[in-house]
Amino acid sequence: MEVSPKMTPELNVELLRVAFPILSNRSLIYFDNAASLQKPAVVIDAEAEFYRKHYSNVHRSDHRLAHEATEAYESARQKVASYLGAKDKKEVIFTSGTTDSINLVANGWGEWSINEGDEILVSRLEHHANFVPWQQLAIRKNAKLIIAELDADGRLSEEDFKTKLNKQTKLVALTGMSNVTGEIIDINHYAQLAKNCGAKVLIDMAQLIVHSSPKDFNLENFDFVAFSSHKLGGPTGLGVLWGRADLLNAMRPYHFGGEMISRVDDESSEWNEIPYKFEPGTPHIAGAVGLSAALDFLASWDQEVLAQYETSLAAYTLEALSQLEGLRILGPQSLSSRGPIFSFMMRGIHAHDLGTFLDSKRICVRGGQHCAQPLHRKMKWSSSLRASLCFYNRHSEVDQLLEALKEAIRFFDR
Amino acid sequence: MIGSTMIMEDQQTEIDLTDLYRDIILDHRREPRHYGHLPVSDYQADAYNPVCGDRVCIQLKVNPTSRKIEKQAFEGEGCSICMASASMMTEEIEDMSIDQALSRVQEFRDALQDKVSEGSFDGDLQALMGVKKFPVRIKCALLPWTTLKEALERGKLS
Repeated sequence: MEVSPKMTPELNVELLRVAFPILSNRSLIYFDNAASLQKPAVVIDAEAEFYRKHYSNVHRSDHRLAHEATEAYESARQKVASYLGAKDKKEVIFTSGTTDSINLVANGWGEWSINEGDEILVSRLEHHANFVPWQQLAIRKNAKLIIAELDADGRLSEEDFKTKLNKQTKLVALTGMSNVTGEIIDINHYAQLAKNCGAKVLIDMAQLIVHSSPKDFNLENFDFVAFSSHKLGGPTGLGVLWGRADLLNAMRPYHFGGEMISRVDDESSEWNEIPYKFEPGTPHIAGAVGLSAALDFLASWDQEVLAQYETSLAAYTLEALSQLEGLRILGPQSLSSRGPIFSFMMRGIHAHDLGTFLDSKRICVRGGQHCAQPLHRKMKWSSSLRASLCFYNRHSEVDQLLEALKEAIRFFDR
Repeated sequence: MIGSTMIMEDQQTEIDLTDLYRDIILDHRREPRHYGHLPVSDYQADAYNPVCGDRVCIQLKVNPTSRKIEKQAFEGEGCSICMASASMMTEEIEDMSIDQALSRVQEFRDALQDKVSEGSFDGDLQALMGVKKFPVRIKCALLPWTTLKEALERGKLS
């Protein structure tokens, strides 16, 4: 192959892999990183350590463990704020995941800000999590959900986006990276276009966050950012909503209960200040501690180097897959503005058969429509197989994928 | 602990797929029986699996007096297991009454879920029993049968 792994001598991938216990405990090729990233030992240990030595509920009791737990939880919030470049940690709300974060905006902000005739602009690339909440809000409010389509190359069409953006557009809800085609969206640019039109901007960073450096985006351009802890190596069951303080202050809570109130009378209640008014009930405290460790882990590696390595891995994978006759990659066919996520269809072999075959060769991929039915239906794609790579994958694993795919063609064509 | 060690060792080795994809299954996939659309049908049911995108449509023509299935057809798209299962199923229910077909559906489900012996399935359908070793694919084999059940139950009510 033309693309040589030697392009990036900077990253010692073997050293990086040692940090992820599952990679040495199981003899598998894990190419399902878009579904969830594996966990570095420091994350697993931080969570266990917290339960072993510091655990208690937060913000409630006066004993020393409560102080320690609150301290740990709030430092995690500060860590997220610093990582994102937020002005204040109160702009960081812990949720249960990206889906929960987006639903919070749809119900807390959208319910009171979107009116009849307003438009909500999303892209064709959206995951159901950044599509259905807006679709349902539009139905409730008699507003319109508008979809910016892809161009002939399978990339988000800037032209179509501009055509559909207008004074009625109250919100642009856009993914930072497609979980199907791997396209990386120039979110700073699109957010600017939206701002110029007076629309608010929500970015779904679920996929992008682990494939980008915070230096790549400027929070100033956005109003809301949503992402999940588990997709960047942190624990499951935890997500983040970052929002501009003025918007969060004006927003109404939509989940009610303990912690989120300042006063409860028999007839009415008053809300706590942000971020607490959006965090009812006992939060995922240990999860926040784990997320904090995951962010520290990412920051301990030069993110430029990780990004460069992923680019070389993406180039290598694209080159490998292009060798196979009958294999069709969905979306952009060239490397520009795409990350190491590849969904493809193989002529004559259904994605699930191929997925089972690859699993029999110890290669973990995902088959199906990847929670993006509007995209698949529009593009007339049936099921596809997705190999989603990340910085701990090896070039040799791509070689093994290529060999297994060749073998699958022989197996199913017998 | 022993259990988890065994799982780990099992995962270290490559799995033999010839049990799952027997020749007869690939044959039904390549040349599905009763594939197509009935211009006139009495009962019909569609199923769609949103996770994998598999889609099956079953159509039946039932004799109003004898309550026997006179014609059956399926259409759809899906993996080899799903399509071969649909193809074999349409052969299996040929000339059956609605009640016979309904109990055959139940027997097939029970056999795949190991509730009864697979002994009552011979011929091509026997080959589908290999799916039992691949728990995540059982739903692929079952989809046409649950769709048939839906179509039959509609038929039973009318």
